[in-house]
Amino acid sequence: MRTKKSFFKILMTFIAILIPWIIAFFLFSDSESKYTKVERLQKINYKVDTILKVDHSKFEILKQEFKRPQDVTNACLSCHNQADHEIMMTSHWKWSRPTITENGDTLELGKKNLLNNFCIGTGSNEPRCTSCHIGYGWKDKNFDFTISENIDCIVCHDQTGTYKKFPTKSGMPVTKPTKFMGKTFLPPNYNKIAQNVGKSTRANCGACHYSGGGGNNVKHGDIAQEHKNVTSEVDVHMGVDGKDMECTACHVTEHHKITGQLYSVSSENKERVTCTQCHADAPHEDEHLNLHTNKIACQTCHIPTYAKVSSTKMYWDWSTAGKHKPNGKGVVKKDSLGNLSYHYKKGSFVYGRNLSPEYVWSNGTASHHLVGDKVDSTKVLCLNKLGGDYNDANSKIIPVKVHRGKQIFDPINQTLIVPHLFGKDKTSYWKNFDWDKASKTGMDSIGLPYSGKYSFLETEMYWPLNHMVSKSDKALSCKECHAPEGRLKNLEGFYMVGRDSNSLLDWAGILMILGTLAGVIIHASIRVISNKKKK
Amino acid sequence: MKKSTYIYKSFERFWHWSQALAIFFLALTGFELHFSFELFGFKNAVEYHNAAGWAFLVLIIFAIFWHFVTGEWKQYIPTTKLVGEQINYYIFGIFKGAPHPTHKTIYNKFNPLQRLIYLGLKILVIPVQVVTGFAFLYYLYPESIWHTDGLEAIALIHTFGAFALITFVVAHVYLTTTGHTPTESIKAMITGWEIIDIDEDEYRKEQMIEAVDKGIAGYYRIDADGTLEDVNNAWLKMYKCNNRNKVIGQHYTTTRSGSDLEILTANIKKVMNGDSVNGAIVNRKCYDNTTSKHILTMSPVFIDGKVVKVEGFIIDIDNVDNK
Repeated sequence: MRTKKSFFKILMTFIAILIPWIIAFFLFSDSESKYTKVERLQKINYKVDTILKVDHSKFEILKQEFKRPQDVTNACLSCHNQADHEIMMTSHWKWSRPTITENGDTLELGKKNLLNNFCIGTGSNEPRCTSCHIGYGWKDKNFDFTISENIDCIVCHDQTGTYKKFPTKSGMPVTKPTKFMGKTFLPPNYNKIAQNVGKSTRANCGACHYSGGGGNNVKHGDIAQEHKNVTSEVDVHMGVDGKDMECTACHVTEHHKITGQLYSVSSENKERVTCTQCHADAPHEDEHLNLHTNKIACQTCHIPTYAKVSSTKMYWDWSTAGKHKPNGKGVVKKDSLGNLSYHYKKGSFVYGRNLSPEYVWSNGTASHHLVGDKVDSTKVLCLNKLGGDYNDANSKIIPVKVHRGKQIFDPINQTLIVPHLFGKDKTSYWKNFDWDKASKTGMDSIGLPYSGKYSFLETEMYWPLNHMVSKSDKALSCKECHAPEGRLKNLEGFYMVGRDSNSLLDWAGILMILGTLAGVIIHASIRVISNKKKK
Repeated sequence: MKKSTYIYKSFERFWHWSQALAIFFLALTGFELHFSFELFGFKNAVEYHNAAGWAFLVLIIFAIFWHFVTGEWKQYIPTTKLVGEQINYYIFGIFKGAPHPTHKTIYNKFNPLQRLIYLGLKILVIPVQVVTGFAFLYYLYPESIWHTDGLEAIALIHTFGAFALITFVVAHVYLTTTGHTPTESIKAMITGWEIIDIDEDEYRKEQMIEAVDKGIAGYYRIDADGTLEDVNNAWLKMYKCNNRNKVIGQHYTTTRSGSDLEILTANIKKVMNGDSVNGAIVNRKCYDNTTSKHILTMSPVFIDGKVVKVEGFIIDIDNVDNK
């Protein structure tokens, strides 16, 4: 009787043990079906085109014979008579933005007072640099930013794909066929272009932004020529086989003011483009992933690699520049992928492709090294230090490309030097290969002293990655970070499961268990032996 | 005196084994996360660990409720009495076959060492594990109002707690073999039954009650007024009465007639006065008006040293073969 009864009780006990687990299991599997795909993309913020579609080819004024590109601009402005005022307030025109500094002053922050560790600075190099300015004729520091006709409307609005600015003519197109580095630039057909204008497409934006730093994908690492015809595998948003979104789908534009600011040139956390413009801020089916959004930016997991197609520049050492062969020709070397590894005008490079980002805390702010700021030559100089850390509630971990290099500086004045690189004159580095002369001209052009001594300083620059978002199944898995040698191994100041442990505690714990086990075994052995003796 | 006793109630056993399973599973998944080995996969391990944490919390809430409702919490009141003897037993006595220094009873299931260790688990280690575990899950630094400089302290305490629990489990499992036989304690925790010491007085009382309730001797009790206060089933059967209410509250005169009644009245008087009476064969008047014979005892019932009632047993002799 008793055995039957106790068997039944044991059975009931074990069924009862299982019940909470079964309930817990169903609670969990239920939570996964709570969200639908629709809810994950909660907010749709696409701006609807408010301008009526017009056929520009019907306008008489666009049928005139255009002698200069400025004539096209004047024709545009004759109807779009407020557009020039809008343009003149933008950073695309000014190459600077008003920025409120830490002490409350407003500073125009831009290329005139910021440096990078690519081609360093615009001062004295304008004709080359401003081939990417949305204007005509910015050839030196005396460019007049108030003349409306110098706005280049068509570089952003051409829909024919035929309009090209010449690389070295201060933003001007050519007037007769001209060769540059093996490519022939033709004079634009202004009538055709002016009659075929429209909203900016990725081709317009990409004309400059794909090639920042002087070549394809050099600067950004996540925006490159391949975006012209990119697959969803590479960029889930812009993939032509998928969503096929234009730049302006996210970089929402009103009155020619385009949202989005790059950390290389902007300090304040404003007018940023964010994922949550369209996506919910906790969009995962898995609650645990949603908890991560508190500290981890979307990009961190969803951009597992960058420079997926073409290589991006990771390192640039100016100090080795200037080598020539005995025959007087400059030395040029390439790596196995065909990327430059040395160029006599620019020094040594390291390019990389399919790279894993580095990770830093970011709260959306950056503090920049300005021209004239003192440098500490014993340390690596960060040109745009990103703000934020673990203890800051507004900070998240973001993926960045870090561009490192060595660039010229003045060890006496302890300032970075803006060298005069481009020009056919007697001091430009790319003609004369004399850093001293180039430094003097360059520093003169921005009104800063040069001691006559130069050296090279290690610098680094942070380029947060926001493009080339992968498909969701390619997002980082847990162990990419939650592991002792994971991607976040260099981030300090906080404890992360899987990555961190206290080895003293672990050893103490393991010894405690093993010690107990050993004690148990010894105790049991003595019991067995003493029992046998008794018998 | 030893007796097989139902010592662990069903909820208690359910709670014990659920807790064992939870600790084992939490340790397995937790250490997968901590030591980066591959078993369930990190993401699954996280989910399982969290689910098990929730299940454990629910179990703890039920267990707390059970302990207070049943009063079993008193089993865990710590004592230092016999702690030394208990340690001495584990270090020396056990090898010589010495007797256990403490005796397990249903009211004192745990030896003093068990009391201390289990209480420590219940009020220190497990609560700390639960609090740090849920902090791990839901505490968002630095948004939260309590300041802890991040998760590091929480994580280290949680890890240490896990080591402590595993250490406990190792020792605990081994110590189950130190009962009278190596598997006795585990069997007891599975079935609930264990041979343990019981209180002899308590046991006698139980047995006596059973003897009166189930025996074939009829029992009666008559108060000072002569009213029948209590009779048992055997008594009712002998008097051929199927309704106890017809008997209780009646005067004893309804149970006899003639000279038999006079003998009874005289006997009651004697006993109430403190004298003893011999057993006697008498005729009883049954409730169906027939008459039968039985033999009878009568004893006084004392309250505060005074005789206030009489009670005794009757044994039917009607069908007894006189030869």
